[in-house]
Amino acid sequence: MDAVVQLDDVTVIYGKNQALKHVSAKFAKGAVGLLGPNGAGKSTMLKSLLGFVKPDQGRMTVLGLDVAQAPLAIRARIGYMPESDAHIPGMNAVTFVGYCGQLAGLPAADAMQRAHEVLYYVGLGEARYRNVETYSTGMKQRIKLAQALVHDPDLLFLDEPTNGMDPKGREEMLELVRDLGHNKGVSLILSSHLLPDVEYTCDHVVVMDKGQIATQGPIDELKGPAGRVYELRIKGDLRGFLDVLAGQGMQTQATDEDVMRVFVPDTLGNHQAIFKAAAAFGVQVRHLRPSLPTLEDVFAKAVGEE
Amino acid sequence: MPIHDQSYRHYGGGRAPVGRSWLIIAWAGIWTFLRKRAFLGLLFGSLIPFLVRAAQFWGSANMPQLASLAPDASTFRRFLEYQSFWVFVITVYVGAGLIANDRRANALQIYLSKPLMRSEYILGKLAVLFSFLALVTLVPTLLLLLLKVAFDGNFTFLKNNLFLIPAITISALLQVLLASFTMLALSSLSKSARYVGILYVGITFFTSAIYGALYAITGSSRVSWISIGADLEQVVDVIFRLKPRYATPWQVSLLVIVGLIAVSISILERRVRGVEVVT
Amino acid sequence: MSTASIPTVASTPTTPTTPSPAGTAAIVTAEHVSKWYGQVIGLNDVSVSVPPGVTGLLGPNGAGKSTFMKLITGQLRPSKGAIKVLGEPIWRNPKIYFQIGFCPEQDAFYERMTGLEWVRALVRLNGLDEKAADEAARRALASVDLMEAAGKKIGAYSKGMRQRVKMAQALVHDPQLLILDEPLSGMDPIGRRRTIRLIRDWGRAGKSIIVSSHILHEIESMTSNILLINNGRILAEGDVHQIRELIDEHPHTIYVRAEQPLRIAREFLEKPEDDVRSMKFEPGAVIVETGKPDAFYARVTEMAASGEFGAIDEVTSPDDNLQAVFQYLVK
Repeated sequence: MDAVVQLDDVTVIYGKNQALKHVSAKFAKGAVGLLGPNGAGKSTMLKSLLGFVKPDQGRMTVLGLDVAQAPLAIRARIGYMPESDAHIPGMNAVTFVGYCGQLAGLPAADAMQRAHEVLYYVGLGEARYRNVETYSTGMKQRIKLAQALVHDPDLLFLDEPTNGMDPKGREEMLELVRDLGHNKGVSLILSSHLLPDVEYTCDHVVVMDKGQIATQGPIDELKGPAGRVYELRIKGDLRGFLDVLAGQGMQTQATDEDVMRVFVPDTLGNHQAIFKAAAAFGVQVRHLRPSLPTLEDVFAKAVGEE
Repeated sequence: MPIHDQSYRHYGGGRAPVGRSWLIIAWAGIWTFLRKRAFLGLLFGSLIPFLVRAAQFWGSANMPQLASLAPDASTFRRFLEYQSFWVFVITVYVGAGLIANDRRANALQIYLSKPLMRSEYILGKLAVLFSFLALVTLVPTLLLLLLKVAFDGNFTFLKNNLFLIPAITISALLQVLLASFTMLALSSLSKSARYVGILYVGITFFTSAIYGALYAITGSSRVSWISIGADLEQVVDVIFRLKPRYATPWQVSLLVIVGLIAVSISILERRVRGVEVVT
Repeated sequence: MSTASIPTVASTPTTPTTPSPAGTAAIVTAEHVSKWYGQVIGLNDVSVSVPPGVTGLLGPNGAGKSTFMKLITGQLRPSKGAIKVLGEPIWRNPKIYFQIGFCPEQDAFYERMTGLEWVRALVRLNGLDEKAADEAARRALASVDLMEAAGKKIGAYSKGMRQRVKMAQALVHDPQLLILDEPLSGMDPIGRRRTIRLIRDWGRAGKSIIVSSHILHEIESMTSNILLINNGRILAEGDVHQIRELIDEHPHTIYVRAEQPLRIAREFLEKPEDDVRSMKFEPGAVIVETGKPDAFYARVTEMAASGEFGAIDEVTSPDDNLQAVFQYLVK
C-alpha cells in the first residue's frame, strides 16, 4: 500500500509521560481518519509529523521525506487546518490567504490568484474582501481550510474541521472534505471525535489509545460482515408489536430509540419474518435494514469499551 | 472541454526555495504601518530635526554670518541623542504589537505550520522594527555627513573626522538593536499590545527613576548602569571619543546593553515555539 | 386489524419516545416573547410550550437559540411577553433556580480548584450544608465518570473532562429541568455515547431536558422531540417524523432494496392510491417518491410479508430524519 505517512517504532517521552510508545503506523493515500480518546497521543503524533517535537526513538516519513531531515520541505507540501481559531491580524481574507501562499513558497502573483480561487472553492467568494476579524464561526472555519489549501498541498491535516459550525455549515464542510479526498486527489488525515463525519469522508482509520495504535485499516474491513440483527422502525402500536415479536421469539433492543434492533433467530428464517409479523399486526415498517456495526462500535471495541 | 470545472484546481507553477520567508513577513509588517496616515505623520515628524540640521549646515557653509552654526564631530553625536526620543516613540508604536497581536490571534499556529524556521519569523518581525528605527537614526545621520561634505564642496571635514562613519554606524546600530530586541522580546510575552507598550515605557522610566533616586542619595553617578538610557548614552559618548558623562566604567554599561540583548534573544527563543502550536 | 388508527398529536406519541413523566404540564411556556438588543432582534414574537421529557433545540447560528436559552435560565429579561419555567415566571425568581440546572457552552472555571471542590462550592450556593454538599458533589461526579480525576486541579483537565465537570455542576442539586448547551463539545466518542445514554436515562427517570446542539445525529439519538428556531422565530416543534410528514413540498423518498425491483415497481405503479410521484432505479433497488407515505409503507409491508413479488431486503428513507427536516425547513 502506498503510504503517505509512515511511523516506524516511534517513541516520544514528555518528562515522565510516554506520549507515544513504540508506535508503528501507515496512513494510506486518500482519506484517513485519526481517532482516539482525549490524551491518546493524537496531538503528539501531529506535532511530531509537523516537525515540532523530536521523537526519542524511531523514524517518521511524510510523502517519502524523512521528518528528522527535511521538516521544512515537508511543510511546503502539506496543509494544516488547526482546531482552534487562528488568523493573521489586520488582514482581509484575500490578503491573508495570499500571504499564506507566499509563506509556502508561491510567487506573489500566483499566491494572489490561488487565494481568490481557493476562497471561492470554500464558499467565501463574496466575503473575500472583508477583514477576517469580522467573520462568523462558520466563515472562520472555512478560511482556515482555505489557507491550508492555497499552496496545493499533497497532504492535508484537518483537526475538527466542523468545530462550532451549524448543521448547514457542517454539511458543506464535510462535502468539501469529501470532494478533496475522493475527487481531487488530495490525501488527508482527519482528526475528529464525530465518528459519522469520519465515516462520511474517510475510507481508512487509525485508532489510537494510551500512546499506542489500537487498530488501523480500511473502515469496511474493520466493520466486518452483518449478522442476523436488523434495524427497525415502525409506525403504529409499538408496545403491542413488541409483544408480538417477543411472542414469536425475536429479541429486541433499544426499543425506546428512534431505530431499534431486532434479532431474528435461525429457526424463524430471515427478516421476512419481521415483515410478516408487521403485516399481520397492522403496523407499517418504516425502516428495515441489516444492522451493520458502526464506526462507533469499531472504536469502542478498539479502546476496550463495552 | 467545453464546460470547465469551476472547483479546486492543482497548482503547476514554481515554488521558491525555503529561506525567503523572513522577507515576506518583514515586508507585510512594514506595509501594515506605511498604510497608516498617523504613522506616516509620525515618521515625517521624526525627520524634521534632520531637515533643521541640514538647513543649518547649508547656512553655515554659504552665509558667513551663520558660521557659528558650523558642525563638529559632537554635532552628530548630539543629533543621534536627540533622535532617541523618536526611537522610543516608534519602538512603542510599531513594536508593542508585533508579536503580541499574533499571539492574540493565534497566528503562530499558522506561521509555524508553513515551511519557515522560527528564526525566520523572529528575523522578519525584527526587520520591521529595525527598518523604521534605522530610518530615523542611521540614515539621517549618515545623510547629514554626506550633506556636510556636499555643502562644503570639499572632503576636508570628512578627512579630519573619518572616525565619524564607523562611529555613527556602530552607535546607531547599537541603539536600534537594543530597542528592537528588547521590545520584540516583551511583545512575545503577552497577548495585549497595549500591555506590552505600557511595560516597555514603564521599565524605561522606572530604571531611570531608580538611578535618579540613587544619584540624589549617594551623589555619585557610579550606579548609572541601572538606567538603560544612561548606559546607551555612556557607550555612544565613548564611541564618539567624547568624555563619558557618568562615573560608571563604560565597559559595565556596554555589558548591560549586550546582556539585555542576550536575554531578549533567549526569551524569544523560548516563546516562539512550535510545540505550543498544536494543542 | 387494519392499519392502526393514527393517534392525534395531543395524545400519545406514535413513535418510541420516553414515557410521560409526572404530569404533562409544559415545562417552559413562552407567550408572545420578543427580545431585542438595540436594533438587533434576538427573538421575534415567540409563543411556544415545551413539553416535559427530552427536547432538542436546533437552529442555525444567530437564529435566536442562545437568546432563548438565556431567557429561560433567567439571565435575560424579555423585552416583551412572558416566560414561565416549571409554571412560574423565571426572571429574578431565585426559588426556581434550585429546580434548574444549566450547562453553558463557555468554559469559566477557577482553574486552581479541583473538580470536587468546585462542584461542592457550587452546590453549597444552593443551600446544602457541608456534608450533604460533599455527598451530592461526589454523586454528581460519579454519574459523569469523573471520580478518578475529581481530586486534580481543573487547570489540568482535558477538554472532555472540563465538559463533564460542567455537566456535574448542572445536575448536582438534582434539578427538575436541565438546560444543556452543546454538552458534548470536546468529548471523545466514548464520552459522547455515555453522555447521550445519560441524558436518555434522565429523561426516562422523569427529568426534563432541553439540549441545544448543531450535531443533528446526536440529537436524534437523544430524542425525537425538537424545537427548531430560525430568524428569531419558531420554525417547527414536535416529533421529527410528524414534522416530516407535514412538509408537503418534499414527498417522502423511500429506498427499497429487493430481489426483483422492477416487478415491485410495476406493482407500485398499478396502485394510484399509493400516490407515486417518481421512481428511480439503482442496481438491485428502486427509489420511490410518494405523497402518501402511510399507504405506501403499509403496502410495502404487506408485499414483503406475502413474498409474492420476491424478497424485499431493505426499506429505508434517506430523508425521514432530522437532517432532512432541517435542510427542507431552513432555507
